[in-house]
Amino acid sequence: MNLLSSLNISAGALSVNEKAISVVSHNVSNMNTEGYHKQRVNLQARNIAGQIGDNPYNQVRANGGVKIANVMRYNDDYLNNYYREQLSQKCMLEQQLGNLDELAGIFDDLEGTGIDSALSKFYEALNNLQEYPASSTARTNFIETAKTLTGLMNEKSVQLSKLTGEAVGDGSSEESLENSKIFVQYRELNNALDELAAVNKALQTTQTGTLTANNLLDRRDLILHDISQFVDITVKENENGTVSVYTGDQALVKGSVVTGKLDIETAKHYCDDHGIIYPDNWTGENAVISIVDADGGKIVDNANSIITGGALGGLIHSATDYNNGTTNAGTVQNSLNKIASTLAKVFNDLNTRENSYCIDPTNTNHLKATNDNNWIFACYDASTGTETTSGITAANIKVSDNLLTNDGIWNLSCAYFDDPSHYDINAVGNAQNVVAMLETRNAKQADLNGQSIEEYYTSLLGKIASAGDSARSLYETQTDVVDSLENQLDSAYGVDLNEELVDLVKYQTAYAAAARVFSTVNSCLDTLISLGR
Amino acid sequence: MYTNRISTAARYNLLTADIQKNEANYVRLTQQLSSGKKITSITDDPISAVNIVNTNRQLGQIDTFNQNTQMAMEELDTLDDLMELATGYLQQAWDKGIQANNGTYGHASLEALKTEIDEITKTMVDLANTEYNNNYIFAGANTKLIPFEIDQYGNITYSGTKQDNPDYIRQTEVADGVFEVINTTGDKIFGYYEAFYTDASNTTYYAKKDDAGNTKYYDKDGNEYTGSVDDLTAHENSSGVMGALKKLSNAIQETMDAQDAKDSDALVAAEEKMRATMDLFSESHNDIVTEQTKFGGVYNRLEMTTSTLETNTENLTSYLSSIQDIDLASAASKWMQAQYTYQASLQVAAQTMNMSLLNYI
Repeated sequence: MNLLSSLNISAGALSVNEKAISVVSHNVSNMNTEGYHKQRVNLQARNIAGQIGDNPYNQVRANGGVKIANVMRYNDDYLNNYYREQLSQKCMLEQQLGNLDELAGIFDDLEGTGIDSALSKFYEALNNLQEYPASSTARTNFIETAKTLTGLMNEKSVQLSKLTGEAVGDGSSEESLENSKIFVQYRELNNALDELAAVNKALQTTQTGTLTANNLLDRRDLILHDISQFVDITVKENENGTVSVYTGDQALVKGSVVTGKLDIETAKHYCDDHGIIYPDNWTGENAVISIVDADGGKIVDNANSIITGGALGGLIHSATDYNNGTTNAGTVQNSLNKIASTLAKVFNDLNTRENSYCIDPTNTNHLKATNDNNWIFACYDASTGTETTSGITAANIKVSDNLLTNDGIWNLSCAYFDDPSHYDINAVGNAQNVVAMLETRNAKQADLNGQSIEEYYTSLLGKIASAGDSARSLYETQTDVVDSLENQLDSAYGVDLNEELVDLVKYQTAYAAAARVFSTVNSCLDTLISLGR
Repeated sequence: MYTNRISTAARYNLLTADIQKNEANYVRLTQQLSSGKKITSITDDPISAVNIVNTNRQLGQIDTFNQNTQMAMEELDTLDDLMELATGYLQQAWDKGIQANNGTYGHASLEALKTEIDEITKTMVDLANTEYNNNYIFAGANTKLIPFEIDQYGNITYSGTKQDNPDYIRQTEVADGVFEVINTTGDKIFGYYEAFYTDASNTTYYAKKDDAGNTKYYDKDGNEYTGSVDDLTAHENSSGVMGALKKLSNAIQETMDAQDAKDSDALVAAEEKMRATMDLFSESHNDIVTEQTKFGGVYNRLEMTTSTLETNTENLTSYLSSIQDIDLASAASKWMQAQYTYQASLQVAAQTMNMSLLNYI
């Protein structure tokens, strides 16, 4: 009787060790698989139930050999959550840094090709004009530097818009939204949400008892890590291994159902739907993310303020001026616009003020009174097709047509008479108005926070530079944190080849031993059977 | 379960991360060395970047001021030369005036003297109409209008900016907000001369001798005055060396007329006038010399400015170099170190990557 049970025990041991070796084999083949959690066979002695009383033979009878209690999956949920948090943060910083690096690239004034040197040359030409106010060469030269300056401002504006457009679209065209980074990411996020729901469903049908579906759980955790890259999430685990994912208070996935997908639209589309005038009354981002339910009905109309972490959070907020001291493409665009409009105002005021005089093109030895439309800088009003000086921005500033005609150079008002009684029509050498223009170089402008034009631009450069610098250090620090967490996670549940090999030898020995016991018991049985012959 | 456990994948990751760090450092130092600049983007070092931009701007400004100062000094040189010439001619005319005043000259000598004085006057007017860089240098702000003209009536009129009009100035900027005036007005240096008559109704007439030697009077449109000579009041406005020259010429003419007419009273009056012009020459000489001295002072200030600007340029350029350019020796040695570190991490990685139990089982 006991020989047969020994046979069973050995057979059981062979089978258990086979299975243990197959788990080792599974671990080893998944050594380099991303997100694989090592599995370990937990062996348990098999106990055969029955009263023992005082009979030692009953104790022997209770021994049933070995069985597999469970296959444990190495895991650390606390570490997983913490890792996802930090990963979200890192991806957000990555998007912000990428944006700031490109921004710094646009304003690289170190080589002397930026707006700062164009402004310097502009003032130098002005200085030359002050020496020779009646010289056509000096006037032409000044107008050329003004054209260079406005051209450069237009160009930088275009580059800024392109930068914003690449990140979040330009706010009104569907095409630019579809080509932007944020569109790609929002689509990937929705795909990941769908995948998670599918895995949850599989878990529901698979993990029906107390034991875990290890490989499905691996897959689930990997998808959760993916999702956390796009948006910061909180994860709640349900029974049977399914999870619910929340961003802010909004549930994105509950069990096997995607309860909140993301949808994205241009700001213009959003404004049209809500009766807001775009772009005049819209102060938000160029794209609006909303959360919709499975049927497409809106749960949250404008989720931009909820989504603050992850790559989506970093991108969506990367180009808007929130007036809170951060530097991004939006604030830089606004600052450039301020510079353009202040420059235009200051010089137009001086060129058109009373008692200032330009030169008569029909007789260039005579002065001519200026008028209110004698502008230096202007922009085109698309609705009327004419020039105007209201609404000048860095993107549309240009040298006024007034100065670009054949006789346009004579329209620069260089002469000015403090006391009108000193006026002399022959005084073409009077350059007092140009002296006033030169004084604007150091004059503090109220519109520019009490700084001069050049000071304001330099401080803008400083802001961009230090924002980029600090973002880079934050990103590098965060990368180090994430890297060290990844190592910790690896330590917690990665496959160590040496460990597996030791286990392999362990189970192989046990298998060989069990086989040996089996053959020994077999020969005992033979002996027993041959006893009766 | 978690203590001191390192998964194989983690080991590889650590090795890779270290290699990449060393490589990134090596690449950055290589870029620095090959470009010769410490910072290539404004985010590398924000404070230095802003300092570089500001310093470049200042250097540009100083360059402009330097050019302005040089050009101003050249113009002042020319101005000084012209005023020197003017005093020279003035001196000549003065000598001739002294000669005329010694009372022994007869008609013919006086005639010759007058012709010489008139020639000197014309030369002086040409001098006063000198152009420098396409501007009439003595015209104040009316730089394109010829300042002095001798009209048919012998008047020397000045049409530049008057000296009491503060808007005569032409300036040059030699430092931030600091302007130096580099011109003066013609009426201050040379003066002018105008003689005319008014009648009872205040119409202006000018006198001119016709071919027969009779004095006729014309208004500004050229119409002849038909009234009586006694109803006309004579006026004379003059100043400076032009005034002196013209008055001397007129006085010599009067002396000659008085000699011809053998009118001894008129002769005495005319000789008195001739003597009086000598004071005018003295005054106008002082006027010119005073202006010369003033501009001499301006020139000296500009010279001092030039040397200040040069010093500033040197200082700023060396400051710029210190924040922008790499120290070649230390950069090269750092680069070599980085290269060795990178090589070492590569070699170590190659050796340790293969180690596992597999080698021994």
